[in-house]
Amino acid sequence: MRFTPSLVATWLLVAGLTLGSAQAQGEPVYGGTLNVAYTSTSPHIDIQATNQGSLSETAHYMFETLFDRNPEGDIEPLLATGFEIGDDGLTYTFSLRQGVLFHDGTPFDAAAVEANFRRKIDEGLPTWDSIPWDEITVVDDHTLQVTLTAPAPHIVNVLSAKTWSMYSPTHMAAVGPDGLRTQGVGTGPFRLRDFRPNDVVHLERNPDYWQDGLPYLDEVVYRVIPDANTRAALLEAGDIDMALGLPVPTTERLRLDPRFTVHSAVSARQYYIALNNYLAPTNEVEVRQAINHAVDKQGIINAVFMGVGGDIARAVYMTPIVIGYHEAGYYEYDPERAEQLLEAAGWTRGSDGVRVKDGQRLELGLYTRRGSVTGDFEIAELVQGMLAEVGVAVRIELFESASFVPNVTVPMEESTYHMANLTWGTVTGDAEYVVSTIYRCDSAAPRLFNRAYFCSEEVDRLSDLSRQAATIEERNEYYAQIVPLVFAEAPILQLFDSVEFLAASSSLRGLYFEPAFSNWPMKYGWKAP
Amino acid sequence: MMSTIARILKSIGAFAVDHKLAALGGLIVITFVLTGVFADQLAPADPNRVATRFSLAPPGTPGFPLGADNNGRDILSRIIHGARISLYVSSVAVGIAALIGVTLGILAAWYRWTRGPIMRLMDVLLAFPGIVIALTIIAILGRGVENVIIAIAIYQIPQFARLAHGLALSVQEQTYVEAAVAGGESDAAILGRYVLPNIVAPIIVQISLLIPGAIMTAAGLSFIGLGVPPPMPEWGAMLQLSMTWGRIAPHMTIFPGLALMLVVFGFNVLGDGLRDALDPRLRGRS
Amino acid sequence: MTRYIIRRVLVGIPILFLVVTLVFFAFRLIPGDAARILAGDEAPIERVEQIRRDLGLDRPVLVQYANYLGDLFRGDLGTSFSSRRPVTVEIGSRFWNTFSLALASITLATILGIAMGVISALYRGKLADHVVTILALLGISVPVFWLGLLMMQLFSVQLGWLPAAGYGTWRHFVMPTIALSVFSIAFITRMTRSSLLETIQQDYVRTARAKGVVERLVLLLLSLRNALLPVTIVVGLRFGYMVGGAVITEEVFAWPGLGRLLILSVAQRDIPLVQGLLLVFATSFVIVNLLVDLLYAFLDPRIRHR
Repeated sequence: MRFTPSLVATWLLVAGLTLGSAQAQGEPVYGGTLNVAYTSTSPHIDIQATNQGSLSETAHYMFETLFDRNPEGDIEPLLATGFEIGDDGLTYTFSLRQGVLFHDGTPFDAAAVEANFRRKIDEGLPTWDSIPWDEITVVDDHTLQVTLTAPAPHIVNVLSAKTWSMYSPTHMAAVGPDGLRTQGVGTGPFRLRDFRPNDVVHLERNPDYWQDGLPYLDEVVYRVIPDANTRAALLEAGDIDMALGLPVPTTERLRLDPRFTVHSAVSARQYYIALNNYLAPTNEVEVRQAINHAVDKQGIINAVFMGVGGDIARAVYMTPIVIGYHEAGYYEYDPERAEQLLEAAGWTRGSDGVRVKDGQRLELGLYTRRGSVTGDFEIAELVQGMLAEVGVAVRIELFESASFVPNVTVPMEESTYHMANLTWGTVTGDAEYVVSTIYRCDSAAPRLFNRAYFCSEEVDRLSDLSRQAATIEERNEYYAQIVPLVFAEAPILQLFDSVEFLAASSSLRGLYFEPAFSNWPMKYGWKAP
Repeated sequence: MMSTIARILKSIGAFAVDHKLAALGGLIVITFVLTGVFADQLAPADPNRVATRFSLAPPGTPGFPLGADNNGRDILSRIIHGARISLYVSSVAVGIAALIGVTLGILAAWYRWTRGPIMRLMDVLLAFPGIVIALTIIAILGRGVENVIIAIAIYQIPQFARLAHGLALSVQEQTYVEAAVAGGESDAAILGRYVLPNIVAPIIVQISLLIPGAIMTAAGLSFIGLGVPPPMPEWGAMLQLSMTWGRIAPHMTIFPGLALMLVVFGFNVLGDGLRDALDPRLRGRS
Repeated sequence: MTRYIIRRVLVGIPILFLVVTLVFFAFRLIPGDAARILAGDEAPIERVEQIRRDLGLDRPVLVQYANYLGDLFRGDLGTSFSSRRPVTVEIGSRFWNTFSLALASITLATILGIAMGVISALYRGKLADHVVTILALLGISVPVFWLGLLMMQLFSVQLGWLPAAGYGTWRHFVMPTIALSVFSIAFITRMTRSSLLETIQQDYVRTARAKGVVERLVLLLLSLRNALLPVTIVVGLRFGYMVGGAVITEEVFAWPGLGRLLILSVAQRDIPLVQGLLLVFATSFVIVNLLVDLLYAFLDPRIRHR
């Protein structure tokens, strides 16, 4: 089977994307420096060791993967030129691009890819186990063969994630894992000039880039500016060209200013609140369904995102742009239905309005942080207020981002939260990541990300079967059975799919949105005069 | 009985005439205390009731005299309930600080060998601004009303210890104390019967001067997100929300801050007046 | 005098040692796992264990303490958990930002505070005195974060005169300097006023004989030297606190200084960085106090000749 983009499940066109290559953007202009202010801390640049979107923001410029998602959202070959699947469905032969050099002059070849795959596997780096590896063989300089223990039709989706970036093998051997945290040598259109942790990533044009004529910009500087007001102030003062992660009231204000364009795009990220399926009383499905009915999702979108936020989530963890997505629906906002469910389950109103059953009050601990993602804290307060209306008392426990993660990443016997305010990003853009790392019983935290401790034998059984499927289509049929099963159990409070905002100077061209990681790379972009 | 009350009222009246500003402060403080105590009765609405359709409603909207915040909660009701939180946190924190600080100060004065360790410890605490100590303690203990109280109490302990130490030293030199020692009275009896009562007045003045600082620190901690837990309508926490929303809804910034400043102002002028009236020794210090 | 200086320096050292020790052990009580924080949200448990070993967090507390003291003695404050850079570098790169803000604020506070205090004393009981007194009372009562938000609303959002936040040009300094100094201005005003009035009382007869405002002003200036002795202490004390006490001002204006670094490092459970910052705050306070003591000794002959 020869690789062509159309054979791989095509990414849905990213709705709402305001800049696309289809749009008239004028003649590209060479030169100039792009200055960007972004939110998150960036302790290191070793993208192979992380799945965090904030770190992949700059990786797009330095590193390249075998396959890539283009601005239209399609997966297409990048450092690979194609691949063939053997008749057994277990052998994948990748043809690699010729004439590509790493920034240090090392040629890009099959041995280099093998070295990178080996590192991911040996060090157990993120999503290495999404592929059932058996053997890796260098066939010739530009051909690599991978054999698997089970079919993996989603392999190109996995390999297109930024965490599967190719590093120079010479460099890897020279600096070791610790050195890779601060020094990066890839094949990308830009090379690293200076990196200071949590401060600045300074990139310069790679004059030997394998795609002739690219890139356009001379330099790209990403600066960490943790404060949203400062980022907005820098943008308005013209000190920077792009500001990521601004609060909605600020972007709405900038929208009125012709010097700036506010871009928005739906992403593979979903806001949700994990309900603890292990701990009483959220181990009762009626309670979990009642919570879902009691919360006005549209009201939250309106209040927190001033009405410009995303759509109500229609599948647990999955957003429509994920490959293998299946729509399950959502629990309508219906406080009366919520009250009926609770009454039927034996929870009756006590004297203070809080429901009681067998002497136990319906009081839930909601763990949250503030400012980790747009609106997280506001959502917690709104959910608390809405649940109070149906007789569910919520106690908000506000954590520093530092102590939040350890407190919601524990074995279920040690868990203390009933509700955990989180977001989920499908970083491979493929439903397999959802099914394997958050749906299954063996994905329970702390091993993986199933912080609801959702566990269903039937889901596990179907998931096992899906792993034997030879094609994406066949696999997706299993997912179409799994998604409604999960939905019926209401393992989480399903909120909404995220819309990401970016405020940028109106002179930027060629900017696009990468939905899996929620990144806004400008690697092939330019600044209009 | 009546005459005692009359005498107290008369002296309060005289104080008010002599110190007009302090009287105004007293009025503000009394209003604050009453608001805090009767918050449930005074607040027109539930301070935590969310209503997304009233999000950011401007002042004057029916049912929202001072407007609504981003979650559609009534700002007036939140300010009224905020008074209760400030009152509770500041009075308990300063009370604890006074209790521990005065005890340490008296001990350090009476038992000479304890002076070194106690006063060195106080020096360590005094080497940091209050907000830094409070922040560090919150970092260790975590958020929560009790922890905010502990954090504030700890940084205020040296203020009481130093004052009580100095005062106790001078009281100890008085002949009646020396007589009691010669008479073989126990240490506890001497400290309780002679030393403590003679240093109470300046301690009370000190309490009134430190309460506004406690209110401000509690609000400051909430403002940087390390104070009382949500959705408690703490004034600093309300101002924290206005960092994001205040630009499009200035009423979220103006009213909680005004309440905070007014109360702190009231305590400050009342404290000044009390200091002048009760304790001439402290006059001139600030 | 020399002996006095040596004695004062020696008093400071045990305080700093106590600070180091208290802070070190206090932070061992913190719940929250630095290794998990560093590894990130989505790291497998094996990676967390690896990081814990790398950082030496699996060793006994006393061993960690001994190592810390040894490093400290060599001027090594350790390595920041989150950025993996030396704590001295992290603090050094921001120290000037906070120090310059504190310096600007204390300068403004001293000039305005003494001027307003003198005016107030000069026109004692007159309108000017009342106005200054009320202003000073408002100054010690206004919450710095509220003042900051209001200034931002007015000067940045409405009028567009000043940048709302950040660090860079002199225009960035204006609002944070005012916010950080307001309390000190009020404090120094009150101190100057009461100190002046006390000094003048000692010269009461001469003052009473002086008829015009000009003569009274001359007399006031003559008394200033003595009256300013206690003011010197207050200025020093305020400055000593400003280096660490700018936390909230820095937070409001997103000033990239030590205060914001403290909040950030507390949030990230970056224990070496928090320890380093607290040590820097305490040290700057002790040094400023020492300098104030020396200045005071120099100005006050009773101590100078001891």
